[in-house]
Amino acid sequence: MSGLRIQFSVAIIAVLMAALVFLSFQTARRAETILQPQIEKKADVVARSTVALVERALELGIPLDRLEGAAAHFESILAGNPDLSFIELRDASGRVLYGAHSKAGGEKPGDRANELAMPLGKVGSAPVVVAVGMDPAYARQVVSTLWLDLLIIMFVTALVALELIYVGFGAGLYGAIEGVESRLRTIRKGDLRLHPPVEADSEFGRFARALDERLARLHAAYEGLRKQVGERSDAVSQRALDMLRERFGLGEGVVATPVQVIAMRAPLFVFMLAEELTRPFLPVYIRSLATPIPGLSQSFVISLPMIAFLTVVALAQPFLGSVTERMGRRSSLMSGAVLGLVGYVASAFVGDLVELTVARMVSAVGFALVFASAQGHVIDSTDIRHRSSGMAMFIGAILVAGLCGPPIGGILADRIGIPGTFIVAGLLSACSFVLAYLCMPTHTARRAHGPAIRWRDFGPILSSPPLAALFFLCAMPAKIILVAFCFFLVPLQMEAMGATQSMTGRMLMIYPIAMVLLVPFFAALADRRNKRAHFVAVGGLLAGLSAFAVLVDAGSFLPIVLMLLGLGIGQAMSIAPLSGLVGELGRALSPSVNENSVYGIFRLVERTGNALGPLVAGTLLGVYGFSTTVAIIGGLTAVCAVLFLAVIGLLRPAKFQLHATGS
Amino acid sequence: MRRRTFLGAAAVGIAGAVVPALGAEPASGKPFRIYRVTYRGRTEVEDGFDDYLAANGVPVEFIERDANRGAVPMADFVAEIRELKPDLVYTWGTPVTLGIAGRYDAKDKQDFITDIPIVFALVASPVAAGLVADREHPDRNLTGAVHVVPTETQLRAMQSYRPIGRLGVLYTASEQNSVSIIEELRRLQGTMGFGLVERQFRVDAEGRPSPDGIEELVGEIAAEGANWLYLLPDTFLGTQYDRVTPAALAVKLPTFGAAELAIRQGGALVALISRYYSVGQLAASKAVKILRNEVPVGQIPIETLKRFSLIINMPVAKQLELYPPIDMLNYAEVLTG
Repeated sequence: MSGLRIQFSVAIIAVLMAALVFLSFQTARRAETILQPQIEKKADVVARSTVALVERALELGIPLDRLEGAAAHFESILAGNPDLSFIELRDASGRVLYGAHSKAGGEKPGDRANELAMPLGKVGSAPVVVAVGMDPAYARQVVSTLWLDLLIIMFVTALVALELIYVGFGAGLYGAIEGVESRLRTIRKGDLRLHPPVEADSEFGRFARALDERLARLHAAYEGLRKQVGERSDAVSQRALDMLRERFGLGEGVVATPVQVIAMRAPLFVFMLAEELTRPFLPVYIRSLATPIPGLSQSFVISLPMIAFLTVVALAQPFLGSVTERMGRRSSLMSGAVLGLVGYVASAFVGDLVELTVARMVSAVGFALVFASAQGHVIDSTDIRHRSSGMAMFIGAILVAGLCGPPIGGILADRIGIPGTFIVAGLLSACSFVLAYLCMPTHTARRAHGPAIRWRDFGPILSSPPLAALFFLCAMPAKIILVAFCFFLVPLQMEAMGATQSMTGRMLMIYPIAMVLLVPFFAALADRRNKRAHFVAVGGLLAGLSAFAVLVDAGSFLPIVLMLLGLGIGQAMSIAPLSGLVGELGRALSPSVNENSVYGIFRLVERTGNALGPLVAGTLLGVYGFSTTVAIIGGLTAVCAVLFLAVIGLLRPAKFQLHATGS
Repeated sequence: MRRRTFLGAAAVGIAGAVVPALGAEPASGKPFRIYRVTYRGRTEVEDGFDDYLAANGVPVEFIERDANRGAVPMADFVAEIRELKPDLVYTWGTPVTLGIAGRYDAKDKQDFITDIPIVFALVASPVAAGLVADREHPDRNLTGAVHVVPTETQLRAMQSYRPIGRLGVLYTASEQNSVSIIEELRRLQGTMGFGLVERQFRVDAEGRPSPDGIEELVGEIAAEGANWLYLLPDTFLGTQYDRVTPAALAVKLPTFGAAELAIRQGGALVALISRYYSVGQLAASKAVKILRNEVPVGQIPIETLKRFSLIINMPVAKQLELYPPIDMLNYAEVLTG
């Protein structure tokens, strides 16, 4: 990253955060001033209705000491009003005749400041007082929850701003400025390598091109010299030229990601954000629409629209690589965005499960199209040297969206409702359409690459014991456990525990945070140690075993936090080594098998795992309930990881022997 | 909040009241003609029926007839209906409805009206009476409103007043309706967790139920540990409230009525009932559907109300020193006289 961009990013984020912090303080203070009078008003209403009820009972001739169910009645009022701490009926001497107190502690009776006392007013009534206690902790709690939401909004705003800076720097004037900056920086270091061309039409663009022209002439002159020296076969001059090449990088190009790769990042990010918004509430929403289907458990029915979505994605992906290539990546991404728009908006208005399933399948086709188009764009605009940095940009957009989407979706669902949030998701898809229209090139050079999967490669790949073990004991369980926990079980369980959508959204941040922070670390560590198989197995074991946290105490949030943290750390450990191992084991197969095919089948196995996730979770949840289902899925994942290690361990000696004879 | 669930359901039965009046005029431009047969003169059911039609802007003209508690032969009404050809026939209670509509499986349908739509009110059990085979799908020229509160709903109301330990029942063995309620109670005691103490009225030489030994039977029920006496909708029991409830009061046994009469005149402690006025509205909502040709009569389900009225008899509560939970005062009608 260039110095200019870092400075620019820091400045923008600083200004943005300062503004948000100011606004947040204002909002929080305002919330406090609004809340207190509201609580007092409610206490007044409760006191009045209680007084009226007691007066009616006495009027009807019920003796004061025989007010049946008074305490239970007060308790039911407290249960519906978390901002009240107690209700008491006291006689003239202050003795409590009937009373109920909220479990959460709160203010004890006797705290006059937070108590509202109202005497029975009617003539002839006994001298009795109804006292209602207000809980000051409630307002504090509301404000602190608000702060949590505001902090998440700040965090997400910062990430989105960085995304926008990223996009802005990729093209146009900033791209040109960056181009000039990177040229000057390398030239200053005596590095005269060629840079990828800058196409922008500004003074900076022209300056960059002028620099390139001079460098190109230098490179041409060098080539000319090399040619002459080569003809003369003068060893001394040859060595001198080699030294020049080494010192100044003449005849070489800078390995930098071509700028046009960035074009897909904004539309991809925005579209993925739309899908991620639905994470915290999707299963809950499905349940609200579901009608019982005879013979199927309710949780299985809930899983059906999710299975439909992920199955469409899994089945469509292998074909879409070539489809989007024929359509053009830009048009296909725009088509995907339109389908997303239609699917999300329809999801907001559906009346039953079948309609929702259809809407989700439309979104799924859109999702698969956008995904494949963006990926195809990366492939089109990079050659093999730049492919991995281009892919990192692609994966980065998806990860950041996965991090921002759930908490924002949860906050939106709490404030504007689930259908409203679907509409927002639809609008984001529309934005993705516009961004694709503006940013992506109409035409990209096509690079020759074979079909992603050659069907005849299925046999040798799946019959290779180490690859089959890797696919079915690691890759597939990893996706099943991820989708089952994060997309299905946790949102439902959080709802059952009375959590708001915002809380669910925050909970769902744990996994992507662990991934973003730890994947690079573990990837480097696994490569350095050259123990990829061990990382894969230990990661799977950790992800699986951490599920058992929920058996300790299923009633609180902490076990779910631990479970998701374990899942995140475990998968952060295994995800990069897993992918690397696919290539490693694939290359060890017969040379007739295409490496593209190995990766293609690997992705297909992963996506099948995705689609199986809700199926497995829904089926088990209907029979066993949350804790046991989580434990079963986690336990099986851990068992698979151990089996994988055993299989690899048994096969390793044979492989080494093979290498030994080969060398 | 649990104790309110038996009252809390949405008032689907009379939701038609908010439907705006549209195109209710009969094709001829004249008001619809409804032939109405009551059993014991005009009741609040007819008030609810008429008000509902008026509120929905349905113009009607009534041909009012009364069976005078069965003194008038039903065949007379059938003959007159055939002659007048009204748009709709309204019947009150099981005897009138059976007399005009006949059993659905009657071999000879000559004596009954089978071509003009009939809407009934105040039929306790249309399936047991043989009016239809299925309440959801009457599948004939008949539909209507049932007034009986479901037994389980009654028990829940009872339980929220005072938990049921053992439930006492006194019924007539020869009344099919009572026997089926007893069977339902036997099923419910497992799921709801209460015991059952059953006694039957004695019978005379001709096999008819007799009031002999009512006090003795109630005493036996109390002695077997019953803490509630359920006055189920038994026809003979309905004529003996003046002996059953004092006997229960004498042994401090609270009584729960399933009919309005049981508490208004019979001296029960509590009752959960359908208001006659609301039953009339529910029946009228079905009449409107028929007159507007929205749904064929055979496809309109026979329904009961979703909201019921809880009535508490405070003088009895004072005598028993068994006061209602105070939040019940928020929704119950309390009798003080």
